[in-house]
Amino acid sequence: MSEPLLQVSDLKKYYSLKTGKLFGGRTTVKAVDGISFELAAGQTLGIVGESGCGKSTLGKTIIRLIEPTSGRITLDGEDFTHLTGAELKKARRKMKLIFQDPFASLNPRMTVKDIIGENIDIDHTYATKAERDDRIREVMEMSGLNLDFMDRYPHEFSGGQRQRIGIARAIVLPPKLIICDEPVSALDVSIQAKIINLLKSLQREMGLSYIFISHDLSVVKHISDRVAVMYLGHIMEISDKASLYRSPQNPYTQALISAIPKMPGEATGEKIELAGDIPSPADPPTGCCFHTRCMHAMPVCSQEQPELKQVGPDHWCACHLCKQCVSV
Amino acid sequence: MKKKNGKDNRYRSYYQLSWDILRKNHLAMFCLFVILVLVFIAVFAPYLTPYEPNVNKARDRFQSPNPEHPFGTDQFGRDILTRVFYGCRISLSVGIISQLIACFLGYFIGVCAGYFGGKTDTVLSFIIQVFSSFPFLLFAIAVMFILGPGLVNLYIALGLLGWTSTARLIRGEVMRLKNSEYIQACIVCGGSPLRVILKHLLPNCVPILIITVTLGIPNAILSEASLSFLGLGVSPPTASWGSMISEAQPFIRGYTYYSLFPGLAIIITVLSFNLLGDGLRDALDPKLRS
Amino acid sequence: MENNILEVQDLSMSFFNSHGELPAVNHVSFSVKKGKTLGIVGESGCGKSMTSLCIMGLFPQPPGKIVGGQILFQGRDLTKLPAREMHKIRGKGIAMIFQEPMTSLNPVLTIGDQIMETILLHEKVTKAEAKRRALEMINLVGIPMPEKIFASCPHQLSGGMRQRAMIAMALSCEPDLLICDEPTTALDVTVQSQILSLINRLKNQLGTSVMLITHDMGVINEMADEVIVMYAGQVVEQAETAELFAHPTHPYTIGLIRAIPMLDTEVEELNVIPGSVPMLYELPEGCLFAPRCPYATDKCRSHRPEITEATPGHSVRCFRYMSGWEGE
Repeated sequence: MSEPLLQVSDLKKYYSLKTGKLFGGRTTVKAVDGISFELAAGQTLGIVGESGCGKSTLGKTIIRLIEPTSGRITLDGEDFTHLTGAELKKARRKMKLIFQDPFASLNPRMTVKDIIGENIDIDHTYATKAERDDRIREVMEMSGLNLDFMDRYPHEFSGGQRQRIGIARAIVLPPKLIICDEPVSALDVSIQAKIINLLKSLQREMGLSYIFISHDLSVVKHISDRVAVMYLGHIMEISDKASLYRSPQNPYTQALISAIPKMPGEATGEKIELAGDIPSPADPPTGCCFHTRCMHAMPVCSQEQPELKQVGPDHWCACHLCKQCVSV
Repeated sequence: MKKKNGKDNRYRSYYQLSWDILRKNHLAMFCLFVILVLVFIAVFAPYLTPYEPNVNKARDRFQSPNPEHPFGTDQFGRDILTRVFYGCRISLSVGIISQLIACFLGYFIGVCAGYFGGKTDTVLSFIIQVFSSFPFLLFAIAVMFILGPGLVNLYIALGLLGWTSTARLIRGEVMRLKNSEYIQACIVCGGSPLRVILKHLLPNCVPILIITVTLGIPNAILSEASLSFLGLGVSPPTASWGSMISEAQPFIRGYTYYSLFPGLAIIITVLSFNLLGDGLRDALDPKLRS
Repeated sequence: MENNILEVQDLSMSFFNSHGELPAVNHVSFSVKKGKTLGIVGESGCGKSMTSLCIMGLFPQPPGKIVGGQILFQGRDLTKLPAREMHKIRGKGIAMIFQEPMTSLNPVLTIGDQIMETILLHEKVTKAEAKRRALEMINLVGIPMPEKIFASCPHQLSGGMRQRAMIAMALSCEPDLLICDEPTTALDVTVQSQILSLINRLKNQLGTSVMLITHDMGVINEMADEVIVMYAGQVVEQAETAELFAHPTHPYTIGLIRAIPMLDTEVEELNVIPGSVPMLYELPEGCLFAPRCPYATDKCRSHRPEITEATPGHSVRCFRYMSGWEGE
C-alpha cells in the first residue's frame, strides 16, 4: 500500500460539561476517544454506529470544524492538526464536508449559484465571473442539477435536489477527500439510491476518497471499501467490508447486523436482541464500553479496555474474546 | 410548504414571497400608504403650504380652523397646519435616523456577542443588561442634558437607547444560526468571520432588523414628543409635534385645536408604523409561513 | 365481515386552498383484521400519515376535509361521529403512537401522570387503581424499575425509553387498534429491534390489531401480515406480505424494493426510479405513476387505472393487470 491519503492516529475529543448538581462541578464527555485509522486515495471508509457514538463528532474533528483535544491528523503527508491561517485554508481545499440535513445546510437567502460558488469566491480561484459561472455550470451538470436552477433559492427544491446542491458545493474546487456525514439519512429510499449512485460515479470520475458516516449498515456496505464500527467514542471493529459483514468478530457488530430488519432473501440469522440502551457518553462504563449490554461479558471486560487486535488480513477488532480467535 | 404556497411561489425569492403575503394584508398596506404620504409631506413641506412655520403674525392669533388656516393658528399667529407639516420632518427623521443608529449598533453588538461567544459574549451581554436597565426617559433626559438640546443630539440619544432590544434579538438569532450547517460549510472552505457575519448572518437577520426598526420608530417618535414636551428635544421655535403640544398646554381649555392636531398626527403616525410592523412580522416570519 | 376491526372504504381527504382541491388521500380502501398487523408503506408525501390522521380525526381541519368514503370502526362510521363520541374512541378504541416520542409527550408532566390521565379519562376508576394500572403497563412494556420511570419527566429518558412510555400510554386502556406512525424511525437499530419485538409481543398478548406505517421495507417484512403500498395519496398495491415480496407487481413497488441496498447481494449501481413524487397540485392526468414508469403507454398517460385483483388476494392499480391490456 502506498502512502495513505489520510492518517488519523489516536484522535481524541473531550468535552467538559457542567453536571446538573448544585455544587457538582464538571464531568468529561469523551465523544471521540483514541481513534486511529488510515484511508487510501480513491477508497471509501464507512463509519457506522448508533446515535451518540461520536461518529459525527469524529467527522467534524477530522476536518477541524471541532478542534481535537489530542491526536494527529495527517492529510496527504502533511500534519493537518496544527495548521493555522493561510496554510489551514490551503489544506482544507483538499477536504470537504457533506451534511446530513439538506434543509439546514443551505443558506436560504442565497441563490444556488452563490451557494455552489462560495468556495470559489473565498479562494479567488477564477479570475473572471464568466469563468466562475462556467465552473458552476459544469459541477451542476456533474451533480445532475438542471441549469435553470442557478438563480433560484433553496426553498424551491426537494430534499434530493438540495443534497445534490450540497454535493456540487463540495466538488466545485476538486477535493481529494469528502467527509459525508449521514448524507442520505434524511431522504426517501428511491432518492437515497440516486444520491448514492451519484456519489459513486463522482468517486470514479474524480478519484475521490470518502469517509461515509451513517447509521445504516446496508448503505454503508454498499458504498464502502472498508468499514469501522463505532460505539461510545471507540472503534470496536474495523475491517474490509467483505470480511466484516461475512464474519463480524465483535459482539456489538454481530448484534448490530442482526438487528437490521431484513428483506426477504436476506439471510436472517438468529436475532440478537441487546438489553438496555446505549450508556450516556458522560458516564461510560469502565473497561470495555460495551460490556453492560454484551451477551458474552466476562469479568475482565469490566476492568480492562480491549485494544484493537488484528484478527484477519485486514480486520481488526477490539474485544477480549478476539484474543481467543487469533490463538485458535 | 409548497403544498400551501403553490406552484407560482416556487420561482420567487424570499422577499418576493414576503411581499406577496404583505400585499394581501389590506390594513398593513393602508398603513404603508399613510407612511408614504407622511414621508411625502416631510420631504415637500415647504411646497405644500404658503406660510412660514416660524414667523409670528400677532394679527392672526388663535384663529379657529377656517379656509385660510385649515387647522387654525397658535398664540403667535403661526399656521398650525404648516407647523404640523414641518413637525412631521422632525418626527420622521428622529424616528428613522435614531432607529437606524440603534439598528446598526444593535446588529453589530448582537452579532459579536452571539457569534464569538465566550468572554466577548459575557462582556457584551452585561453591557446590554446595563443599558436596558436604565429607566428609559430618565436616561434620555440625562443624555440630552449632557449633549444639550438639538436635533442631532436627539438622534444620538434615542439611538443609544433603542439598540438593546435589537441586540438581544440578534444575539439569540445568531446563536441559533451559527451552528447551522451552511455556516459550518463556509468555515470549512476557509471563510473568515467577517464573511460569515456579512454574507451569511446579515441576510438572515435582515427580517428581524426590518421588524425591530419598524416597531422602534413609533417608540422613538413618542420619546421625541415626550422629550420635546419636557423642553429637552428640539429647541424652539423649531416645530415638533411634542413641542407643539407642550406649548399648547396653557391653552388646552380655551383653544383645544392647538394640541389636538399635533396629537392626532402622533397617533396616526405611531399607529401606522405599529400596524405595518405587525404586518411585516407576519409576512417575514418563515415559521408562520410554512 | 366480523373479522375486520377497521374498514376504510373509498376514503378521500382533500386540502382546499388557493390552488383548489389537493387530494391528499385519494379513494383509499383497506381493512385491518382482528389481531393482525397491516403495514402501510410509501415514501414521504404519499399520504400514509394523512390516512392515519383521518382515522383518528386529527388531520388539520380546515384546510383538510373528508370528501368521500367511510371509516368503519367496529361497525361505526368515524367520519360521521360527533366530536364527543370521537373523544371516547380515541385512546380507548384506537390509540396511536408517533414517530418522535419527545414531541408527543408533555415535557412538564411525569410519565406516570400522563399514563394515569389516559386511564382516568376513559374509565371510571379511582386514582389508586389508575396508578396500579399505569405501573402495570410500564412493567409490561419492559421498562426496568417502573416506580422510577413513573415519576420521571420525558426529558430524563432515552429515546427508546420514551417510545416505550408512549406505547405504555397508548395501550393503557387496552385499545382494539393501535396505529403506529413510523414508531422506530427516530431510534437506533438495536433499539428499533427492541421496540418492534415489543409491539409484536403486546399484539399477541393483548390481541390488539396493529396498523404500522413506515417507509422501511425491512420493518414491513418482519412485522406485517398484510401490506398496502401507497403512492401520491393512492393505494397502488395490496397483498399479503410474503406474496408482495415474492411477486411485487406494481412498477412502483418493484422500483422501491430494488432501490434498497441489500446486505447479502453486491451490486455496483442501485436501481433508481426516475423523476420524483409529483406535488399534489400538479398530479398527472392519467395514472399517477405514469411519468416515472418504465412501462407507461399512451393509455396510462391519459387514463387512471382502477385497483383490481391481479391474483386472488393481491390487488394492484395498474393497467398491465387489468383486462384489455395491449402493451408488451
